Amino acid sequence: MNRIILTVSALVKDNLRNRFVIFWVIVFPVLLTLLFSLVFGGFSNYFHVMVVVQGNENLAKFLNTTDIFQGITNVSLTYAMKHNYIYLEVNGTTFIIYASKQNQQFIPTLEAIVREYYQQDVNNNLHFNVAKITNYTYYDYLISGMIGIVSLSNGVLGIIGVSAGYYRDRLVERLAASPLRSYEWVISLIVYVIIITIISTITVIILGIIFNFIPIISLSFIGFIILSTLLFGGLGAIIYGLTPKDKIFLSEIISNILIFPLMFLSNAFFPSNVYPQYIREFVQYQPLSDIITVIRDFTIYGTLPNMSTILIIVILTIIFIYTGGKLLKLREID
Amino acid sequence: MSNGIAIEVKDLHKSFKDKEVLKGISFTVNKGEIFSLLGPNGAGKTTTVKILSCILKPNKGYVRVLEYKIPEECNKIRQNIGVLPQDYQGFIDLTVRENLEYFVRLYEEDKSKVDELISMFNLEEVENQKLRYLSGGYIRRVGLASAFSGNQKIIFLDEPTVGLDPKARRDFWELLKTMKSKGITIFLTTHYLDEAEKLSDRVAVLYKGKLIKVSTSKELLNEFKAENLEDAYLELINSLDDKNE
Repeated sequence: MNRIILTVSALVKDNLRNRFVIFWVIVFPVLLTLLFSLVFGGFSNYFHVMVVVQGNENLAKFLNTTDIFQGITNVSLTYAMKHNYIYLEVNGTTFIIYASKQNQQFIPTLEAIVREYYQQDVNNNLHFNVAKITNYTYYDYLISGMIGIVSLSNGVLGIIGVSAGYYRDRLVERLAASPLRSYEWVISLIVYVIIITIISTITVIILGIIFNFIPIISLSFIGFIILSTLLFGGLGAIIYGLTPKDKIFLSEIISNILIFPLMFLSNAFFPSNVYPQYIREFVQYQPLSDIITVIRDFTIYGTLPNMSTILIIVILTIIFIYTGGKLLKLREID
Repeated sequence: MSNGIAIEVKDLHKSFKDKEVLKGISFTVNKGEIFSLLGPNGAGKTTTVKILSCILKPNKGYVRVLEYKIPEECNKIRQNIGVLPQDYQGFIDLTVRENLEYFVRLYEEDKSKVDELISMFNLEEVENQKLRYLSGGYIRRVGLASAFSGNQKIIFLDEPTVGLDPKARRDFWELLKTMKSKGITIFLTTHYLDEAEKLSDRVAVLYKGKLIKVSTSKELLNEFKAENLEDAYLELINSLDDKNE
């Protein structure tokens, strides 16, 4: 235990004094958040506004003929709220519209289109009621997505960066000939990436608070951040472990090739339905998207995530950490 | 094992996949001597050091370091040996003192040992500087100091003076002589034949995984009627190359 604490302390000090590491742990998430906030803060203006129509399928189809709305059916109110959709409940000539503050700007247009569909003018008796709902903004969406991203980047790059760098600097060889046990080294690396992920998460949350997003922080959320960091840390360890040691630079190249598509082809910045059809399935079901969905359940909606998703993440984490841990061992003789 | 022997190796074999790197080498190293392992690139020098320092597992053979057997008693061996790998850079963003503190505590020694090492290796001037900003000579000295962080009886040095300027090399040699005078056994691999000649009590020549020669520098000079170890070594290697052709 003593040697683990000692090694974690050395790893944290050595790496957090390195400008390159500081960039990835603090500057990169801040820059990415700011960039997407500034460019897509008014995000709904640039995409079809999703409207869930409950009670009239044809009205949903009619909305699809417009340039601004996309009508869908058979989606629950909770799901609609989580995804920042407008929810339109049709009950005869009475309509209840559930919309976030951000989407309320579209309500007059939606009302006009609905009247057009019913071929009624404003004087006839269609009744619209607007239900006030909790306001989820793009910033909430982005910040929670960024928390998922930092667990990916710190998990994979943290393990690979330290392992490959220390291999080149011959520290791994030096430690291999010391009393430090392989399991102590692996645990130290894992604790290090958890620490840097927590630092990044706190940075992103502080930025979120500036954008008026107060996340729901619970023990389950913290536990899940650790779990997702372990998952990606394990993935990093496998990449490092499988890279031939005389071409160790390849592990860093492979990790970048892997990280950026996972990052940008996920639901971190936009809902999966805005992606082209041919890639939508990938965006929806890749592990980072699942992780971000769970983080949103915890931090934005305060709901329990889908347990089967959690189970899949736990199983993947166990496989990755076990395999990665074996590949990260310091020496042939332990 | 006799009390005077620090390392005993018999019929040591090591292969990586299909490539046999060590083909049954045998030698002993006496306690308190400087023993140099010479040989061209790819001869198996680093592999030998890695086996003796309990990093790699031998495929076959009998290896003892001090009174402990490899691989069964490696945990005890690691407490008693120090290693300075080739091109060792250390924790580059920790200071000299922090680097030494880490290793001293890893070997469960008292913190006062750090001051002792700083003084022994003349690191006072740079003790609060990060390794990143030190010259190659100083980094090598920090590496050697960290190799002595515990209660080491044997030190393995893999090409310790590569890339150092002549002054730094000479300073490094002086440090090794001081260590030897304290009874430490030093196992050295080097490409610098003058270094081996000046420092070593005995040299061994490894060639394509086989141990060709183990003798004192003087014996090697006499055998090849050479003026220096470099000439004798080159003559030996050339004769082996000719045989292989």
